[in-house]
Amino acid sequence: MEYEGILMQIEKDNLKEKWEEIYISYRKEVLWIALSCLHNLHQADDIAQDVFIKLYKIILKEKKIENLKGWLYKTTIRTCLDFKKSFWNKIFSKKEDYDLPVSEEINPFEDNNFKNLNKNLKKLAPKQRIAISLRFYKEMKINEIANFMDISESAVKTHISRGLKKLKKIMEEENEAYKF
Amino acid sequence: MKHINFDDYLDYKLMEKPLPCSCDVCQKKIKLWEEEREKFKKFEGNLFFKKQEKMILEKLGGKFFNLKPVIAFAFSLILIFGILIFSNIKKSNKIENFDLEYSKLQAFYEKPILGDLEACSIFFENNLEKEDI
Repeated sequence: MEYEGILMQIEKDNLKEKWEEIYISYRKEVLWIALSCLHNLHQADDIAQDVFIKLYKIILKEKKIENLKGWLYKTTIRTCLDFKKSFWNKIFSKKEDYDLPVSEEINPFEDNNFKNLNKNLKKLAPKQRIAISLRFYKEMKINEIANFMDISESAVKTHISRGLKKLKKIMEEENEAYKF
Repeated sequence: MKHINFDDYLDYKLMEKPLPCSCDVCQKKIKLWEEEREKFKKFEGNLFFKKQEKMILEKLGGKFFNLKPVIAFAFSLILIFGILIFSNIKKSNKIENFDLEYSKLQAFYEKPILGDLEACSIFFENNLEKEDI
C-alpha cells in the first residue's frame, strides 16, 4: 500500500488495522534508517519501535500527516540523533561498544572495501554517518537528505565531504592494502 | 590512464565526481561494487522484525508508558529519603549523647556546692598526695 504524498487521517474505528498496514509497508525502511544511523541492531530495533508508537499516538489524536514516508524518515533520524545525545545513552552505553566488530548481519559484504567502509562508518559522527548512508546506499539527492535531516543542503554537503575525508583516512590507516 | 580505485568510486557516488577511467576492467569493478552496495540496501533482518512486531503490538495492547523517568524519579526519591534518614540517625545519636552529658551535669550540680577555699584545699591536698607518692 502506498501512503506517500497522501494527506493521511485515519478513522478511529479501523485504526489498528490501518496502523498495521502502515507498519508492514514501512518497517523495513524505518529499521534501515535507524540501523544506518546507529550501527547497532538492538538500538535500531528500539528506535523503530518508538517511531511506530509515535505514529500510533499521532493517528490516535487525529492529527494529519501530509507525507507519511517523509514523516517516518524525519522522525527516525531525529529520534536516533536525540538518542545519541540522550543522558541515558551517555550513561548506559558502554564505550567498548564502539570497538566491537560490526556483526555479519550488518556487514554482509564479500568485498573488503565494502567491509571496511561499513565497519568504519560507525566511527563517524551520527550526522555524517546518516548523510553518507542515505547518499551512498539509498542514492538520495542532496535536497531530499537535507529535508529529512532538517538541515540546509550546504550542511549536508559539508557532512558528506568531511565524513568522506575522515573515512578515507581511517580506511587508509587501518588497511594499507585497501589501495590497489 | 589511471584505473579507478575504491576512493574514486566513493567520490563518484557521494560527491558526483566523474570517474577517471571507463575501460572494461573498471566497468566490471563498478558492477561488482554496485552489487555489493545492493546487499546492504536490501538488508532486512527478518528475525528482528518478528520480535519487534510482537513487542510493538504488546505495547499498543498495554500502555504507552515510558518507565525511564519513573525509575529516575523513584531513584532520586530513595536517594533523598536515604540522605534524610541517615542524617536523622546521626542527629538522634547526638541528641542521646547530649542527654547523657546533661544528666551527668545535672547530677553534679545537684551535689552540695563547696566553697572556693575548700575546693582549693582539696585540690592542693590531692596534688601533694600525688607528688609524695
